Amino acid sequence: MKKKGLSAALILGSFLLFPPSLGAQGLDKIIEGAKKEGRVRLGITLRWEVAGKPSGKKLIEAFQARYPFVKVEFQRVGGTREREKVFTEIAAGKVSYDVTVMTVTQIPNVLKADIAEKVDWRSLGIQPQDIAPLGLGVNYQYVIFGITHNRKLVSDEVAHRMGWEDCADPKWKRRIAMNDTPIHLEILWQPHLWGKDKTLAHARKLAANQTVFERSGEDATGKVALGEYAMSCGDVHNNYLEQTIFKGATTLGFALPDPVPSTSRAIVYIPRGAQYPNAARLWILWSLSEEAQALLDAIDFTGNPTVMATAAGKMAKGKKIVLYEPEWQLKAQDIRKEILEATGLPIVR
Amino acid sequence: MVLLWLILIPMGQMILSSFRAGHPAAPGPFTFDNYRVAYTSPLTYRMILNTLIFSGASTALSVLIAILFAWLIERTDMPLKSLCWTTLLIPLAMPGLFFAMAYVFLLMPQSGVLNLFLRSLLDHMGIALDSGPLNIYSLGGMIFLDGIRGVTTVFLLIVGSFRLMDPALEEASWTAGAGNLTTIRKVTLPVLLPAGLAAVLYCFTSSMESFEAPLVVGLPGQVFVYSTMIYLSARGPLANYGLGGAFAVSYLLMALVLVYLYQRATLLQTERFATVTGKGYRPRVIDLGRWRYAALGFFLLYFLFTVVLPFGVLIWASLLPSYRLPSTEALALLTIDNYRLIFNEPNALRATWNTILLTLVTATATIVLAFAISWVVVRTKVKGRLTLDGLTFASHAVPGLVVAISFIFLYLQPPFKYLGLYGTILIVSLALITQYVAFATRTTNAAITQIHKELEEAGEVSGATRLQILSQITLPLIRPPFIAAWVWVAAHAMRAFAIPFMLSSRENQTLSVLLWQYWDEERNLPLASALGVLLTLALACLTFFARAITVKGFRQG
Repeated sequence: MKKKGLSAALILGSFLLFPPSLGAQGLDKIIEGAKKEGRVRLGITLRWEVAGKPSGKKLIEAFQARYPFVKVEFQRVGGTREREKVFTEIAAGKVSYDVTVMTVTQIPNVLKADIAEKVDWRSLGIQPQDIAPLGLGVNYQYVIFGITHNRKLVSDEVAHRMGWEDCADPKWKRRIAMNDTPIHLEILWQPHLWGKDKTLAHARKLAANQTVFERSGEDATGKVALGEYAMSCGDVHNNYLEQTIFKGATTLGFALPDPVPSTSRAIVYIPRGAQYPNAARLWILWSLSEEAQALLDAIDFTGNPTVMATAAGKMAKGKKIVLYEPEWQLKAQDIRKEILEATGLPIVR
Repeated sequence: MVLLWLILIPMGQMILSSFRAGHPAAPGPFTFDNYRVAYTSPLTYRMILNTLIFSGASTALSVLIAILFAWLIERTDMPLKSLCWTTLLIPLAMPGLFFAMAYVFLLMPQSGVLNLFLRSLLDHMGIALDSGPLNIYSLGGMIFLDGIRGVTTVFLLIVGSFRLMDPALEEASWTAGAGNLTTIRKVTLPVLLPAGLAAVLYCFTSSMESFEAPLVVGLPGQVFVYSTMIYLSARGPLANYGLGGAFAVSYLLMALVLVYLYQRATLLQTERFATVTGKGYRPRVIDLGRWRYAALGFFLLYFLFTVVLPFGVLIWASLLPSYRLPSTEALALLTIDNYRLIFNEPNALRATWNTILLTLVTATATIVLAFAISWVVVRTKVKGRLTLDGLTFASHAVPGLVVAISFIFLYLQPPFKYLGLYGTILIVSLALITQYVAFATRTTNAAITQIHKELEEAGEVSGATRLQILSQITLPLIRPPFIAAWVWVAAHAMRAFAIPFMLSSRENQTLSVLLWQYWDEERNLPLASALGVLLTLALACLTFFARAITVKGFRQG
């Protein structure tokens, strides 16, 4: 009797948590399946703790408080290099995660290797803008791109006046760092923004200006904090917030040139052959709920920037946010290749 | 059959895959595109040139310092020689990744500790600089890191020749009225040339394979060499394995040529062995006079740069919540939390277990395989045994990254895919065995050759079975060199990075890969530093254990 009552409460609670278009029967079925499975293995881009403070841990605890019958195993899968490793593992038949992440440039390989479970996300109530290209998964954790600067080396006033073109200004020669996968340039590449020619010309100027391409945005931000570089162009806002709020980097400032490029940090998907597919669906559905999104924004600052209440939304207030459109995300591999060639980086990247 | 599986099939698969488009897990059609793209790009030729400059200059640096140390320790009256000999082993215990990480903290152009110190020094002299004066993110930085780290290996390769050199030649030179410098130039160095040449080629091959310094300081500095290009082609948002295969093929060819030259050089050394004898008296010790302490000072300077400074800065970083430059404010933040965290982190515990397993399995399997090969080569008259020996030695020519990428090609595609080895600790172990079996067979060949056949024949006459002869006569006699070889393989497997890194997955991560993950993916520099400190201490124990066994074996011998 008690168990029945608990299930009823869960289902009722879920109505409040999940998008209204998700039918009660669908969710009921997923919850029943998840209950039987009793476990889910996550490999997502989130840290368990940051500078000794709980991060991903909080999100998992909230999920488990809501669904105590699903035990969560958590592992961080970082940036593009780690995602490639996970893709290779899954393609080799080693499916270690029930929920994991891919980068847009991996879409062609994921399709060809046919490793993503086909899920009708719309019928599960996911909003179209949250569904990844070709329905391979859902968009997750949004970031906005800006310029992080060391306030001892560059004043806030100067930084806030900067536009994207200024990143290639010769007066900053050798003093600017960038992530070696400059996604903000891929977004600016879209025809309704800068377009191909202007973006490639800018990339060439960056190369001529001896911009330092670091292996990750975090690497660049960390070194800006130390004073190694004056600025990091195309840095994501949550790197800056993480450094200042969690790591006490008081020297850092952040500016948002117009327009503000934004994209999801990853596409979350269920690999084919996942051991706990219902629990995986339950996790993904819950992670897009308001409760989870608010929590994600508090711990990782990666809530949707078009929602004003999120950290990114507050920072971008009054600015024009431009998104990476699905049509162009599908061409990300070719776009990135051309940008990297223009910056003088080897195209194998 | 084992060698076929370990060496020939993966290499064949790699060459085949270098002519294919797509991902190894979803291969595309056959194409020449990978070769066209690889060898029509000016970047490739810059990369090849970088590789040659990097390998040549770091070899020159290692060899020059090593020869100087070998001469000072074996042939002069420099003080504290025995202590210097032992301390020269310490850099061996420091993983290459850890060493490169330390120098990032020390020599970042703007905020490196040493650069800040040098800038303040120059400022006092009226020279104001905005950054530098040194930049670790450069080809020079890579050469420096690889060059000073390579000294110990070259020293170990040549020190024996200095010790065993026939002193009569130098005595004759002195008797004829030549001075110390002339004797060194005209007698000592030419006599030691074959050993030196072998050391040069060995060091050059190792530098070409070097991965850690190019990865940690080369990539941010946009200095690409073969190893990093192969890495980038297999790991990244624009992964292009076929292109990686095309790079690997020419890399392999270059390495094969070098190993062939190395083999010729060691043969030359054997032929000229008459000049390096084990006569019962020691060569004359050269009196350095007042230069004795200058020589010791130079050694201490080397020790400062290879051990004290890198280890010191990483201990400092490991005691902070997030990395900060040394200051009195930062002193207040010191904590041992990072060490506590490592001992409570499930990933670290799993990586420790994986590393122990990998070390034990790789070392044992390599020695067993080497023993089996050596037994066939030395003790039997089986047809093709010399081919077997040659094939085993050829595996030395295959750089670690090439082994790794060839294993990725092989185990991601049918039929080998169905073995389910990809992502396990076993695939890492197999790749490491492929790398180390050449070294192990050199030791086991020599050890078995030294055991006179009469001893085994006596056993046969006494009615002992083959197994009894092996277990009761042969194995006890060859135990010391075998243990030394086992420890060598174990120490190398424990600190190995390139292969475990390229073949790593959630389940098979080792400590050196976790160290990189903390450093690169998680950007947790203090935690990476703490793990590096612990790993170095463990490796130091193993290195000194190896030294003790080798010395004991030498004395018994």
